[in-house]
Amino acid sequence: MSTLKIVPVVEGHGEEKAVPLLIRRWLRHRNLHEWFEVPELAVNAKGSGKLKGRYDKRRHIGIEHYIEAALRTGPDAILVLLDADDECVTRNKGNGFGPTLLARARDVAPDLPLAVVVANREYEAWFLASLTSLRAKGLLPLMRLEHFLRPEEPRNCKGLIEKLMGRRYEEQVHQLELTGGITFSAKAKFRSPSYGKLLRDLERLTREARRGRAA
Amino acid sequence: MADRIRVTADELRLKNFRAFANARLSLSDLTFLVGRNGAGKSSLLDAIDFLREATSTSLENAIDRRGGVNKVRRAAPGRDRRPPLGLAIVMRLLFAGGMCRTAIYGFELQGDPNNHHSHLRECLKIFGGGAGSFDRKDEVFEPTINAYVSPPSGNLVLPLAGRADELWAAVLETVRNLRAYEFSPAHIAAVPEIGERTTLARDGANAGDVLKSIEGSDDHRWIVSRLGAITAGIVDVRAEALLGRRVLRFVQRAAGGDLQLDASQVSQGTLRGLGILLALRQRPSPSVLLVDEVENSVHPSALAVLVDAALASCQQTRVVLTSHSPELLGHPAVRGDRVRVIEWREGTSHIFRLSQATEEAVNEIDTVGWMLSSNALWTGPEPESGGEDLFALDDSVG
Repeated sequence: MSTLKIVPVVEGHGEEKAVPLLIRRWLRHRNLHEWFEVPELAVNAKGSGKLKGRYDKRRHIGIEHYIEAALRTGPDAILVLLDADDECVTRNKGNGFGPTLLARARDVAPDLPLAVVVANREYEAWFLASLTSLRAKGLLPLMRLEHFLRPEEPRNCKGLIEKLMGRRYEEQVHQLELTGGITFSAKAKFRSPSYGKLLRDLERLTREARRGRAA
Repeated sequence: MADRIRVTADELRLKNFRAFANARLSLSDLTFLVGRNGAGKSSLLDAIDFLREATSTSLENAIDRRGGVNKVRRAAPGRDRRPPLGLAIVMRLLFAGGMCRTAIYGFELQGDPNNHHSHLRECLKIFGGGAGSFDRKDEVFEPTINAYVSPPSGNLVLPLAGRADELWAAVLETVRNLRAYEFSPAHIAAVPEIGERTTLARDGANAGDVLKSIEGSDDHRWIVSRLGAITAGIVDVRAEALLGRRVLRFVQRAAGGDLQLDASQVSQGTLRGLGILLALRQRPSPSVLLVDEVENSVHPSALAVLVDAALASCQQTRVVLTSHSPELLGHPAVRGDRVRVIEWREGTSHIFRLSQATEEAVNEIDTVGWMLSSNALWTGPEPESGGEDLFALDDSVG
């Protein structure tokens, strides 16, 4: 049986390798890795604001453009992941930043399992949510950290990670390295609700993709 | 003699050669090759060089220069008997009367534990009727025409057979004119001893000799005008002799008059540009010309000049340009059907065409360059590869 394909769409240089790795690790964790394949590199809307910007095909702006690009490989599900940065992430009302982007993506791919996950405020917050696991794996040193229990609050998670590491945070190297040690525990989901949403969305996408194949 | 047969290279086949297990590179008039670092582009370059060297000097030399058969055969775990490595080229033969035939020439080598080759099979197959095919296994040479050629032990028979038949000569010439380039501006700028060669060396080190051989011709003027478009003010480039050495002399127009510059005084981009232009217009014309990483040291605005130059030269030569540059791959000549992607998957290199949807989506907005930089340059589901028989004709050719 041929595998199902999940295509991630991201907005950053570090994420283009880290997000596929995170999905692959989660698939293995859920024992779904033989069912699904994930490209080595995520579709990358390089430059902050390229996904949320108003659709402008000529300038490669807008989530629609990147969903169209992802569709050309014939995916079974698409996961869009971007940093909220200073955007207000309104939850449970259906009209926040993420739901708006999801609605725009659905206009382009109405029949495909889709998810838009907005990391609050940035992907690196999820490392803080997984701090215990990263420390246990020796990827981050033991050191007191102020925002350990509320990783989504600080504005500059990269700076905090940098402080922890005691050296410059290099996105291309460290984001991938730390993603290799991120945990899927309930505690991490609790500490970072946006990370919890990612894992819930992955559950939903894989379920819907398998159902779509069966149909 | 071989002028009555025009040969066009259509495909290269690689079997257990360096990073490739079984791959085929189908050639468009102009082909753009993209792939991440370590994907197998260098192996492809070496395959082209290996084929050329094996027919120009000797097969033994070509193997020795690479450190033995085991260095060029695909590395595989285990100590089992390794399958033979093979290289072949698929050609279209157009005869003077308008008759067209497809031919495959190549060879397979079996290595022994001492890093030498123990068995050699060499084949030329002409499909669609007509004599000229041959099959040679070690010392046994079985041509379909009468030819008193004795296969040299451990070496290829085609370089000898090429003297006996004009079709074989045309095939030999095609294989000998395969060219792969990795230009080094430092080597182009060096002042080598004067040589007699008219074919450009892989690193461009004999650029002066090659330029000298076409000096005053239309091709020389063609090169100078394009070099002027790459580097503002260049109005001439000549090859001069100085104490037995070959010196490149550039003339650049400046406010106070023309400047005479030697190669050490011009930019690396200018030297690389000269190397690429010379490669395109050297004599004899290459049958296949592969230039690695065209964009190195070249300003994005000059890349279009080089792509246009390649496009203008692909009537007589199959040009293959490897590139990582979104700027170069954003050129309108970079159509989806001209792009091949090399990928390293599961321990071996593969060559893919773009997926049909991606190929059709390439346009002036969604260029191949944009797709590459966005990681949305999707390949087709299956790599270009063939069956076990290296010399078999299949549906993809012809």
